[in-house]
Amino acid sequence: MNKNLIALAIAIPLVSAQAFWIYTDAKKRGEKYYWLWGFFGLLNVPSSLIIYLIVTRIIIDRYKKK
Amino acid sequence: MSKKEKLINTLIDKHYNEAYDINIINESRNQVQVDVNNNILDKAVDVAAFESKMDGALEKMDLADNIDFSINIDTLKIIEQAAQIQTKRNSFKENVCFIITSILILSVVSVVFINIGIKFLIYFQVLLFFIMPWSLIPLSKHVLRRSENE
Repeated sequence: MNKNLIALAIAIPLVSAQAFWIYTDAKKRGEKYYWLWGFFGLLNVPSSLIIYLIVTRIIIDRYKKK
Repeated sequence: MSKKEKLINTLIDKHYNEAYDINIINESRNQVQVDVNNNILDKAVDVAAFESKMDGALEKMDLADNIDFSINIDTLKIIEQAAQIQTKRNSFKENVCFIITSILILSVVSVVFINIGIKFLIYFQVLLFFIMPWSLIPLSKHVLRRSENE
């Protein structure tokens, strides 16, 4: 039980911070679905962040350059 | 138009150097003298007094012209600032909404995690880690293609 609580105490701030950063960054970049991106950031650490960075910084930016 | 009104119009015309009948003024000057003698001045127009009154009015208007109304108001800038303030306020509200929703979602997940235990978290994360993130890449490409077609 205690281990579970410790895991939550570590995971929740990390996940929250990541989700909020993704949300604000997507909003700043003018992404249409920034709310969804924010919720996507809540799913796990750090693969959501990596995927977000791949999608926005590589795929979308490359697409816009074309 | 009464005689009095006619005389006032003629005096105004004279004051602004427009065409006027001088006879009306001369006639009235004589009339004023007669009226003064008869103590019925209020019925006539005192030409000299009216002219000095008009000069006074003109001086006042000149004074108003000389006042410097150099108030530069940039309306566009004010509107832009108002829009910025409005956007900031809405953005703050949206951020607060997002934080509240996140806390709710996380608390639900936490409650489930505490009740079911580590198993729930492992299954949940495995599922998410292998399916959800990677499905976003083809999904984003699909959205981009769709927006391109539009």
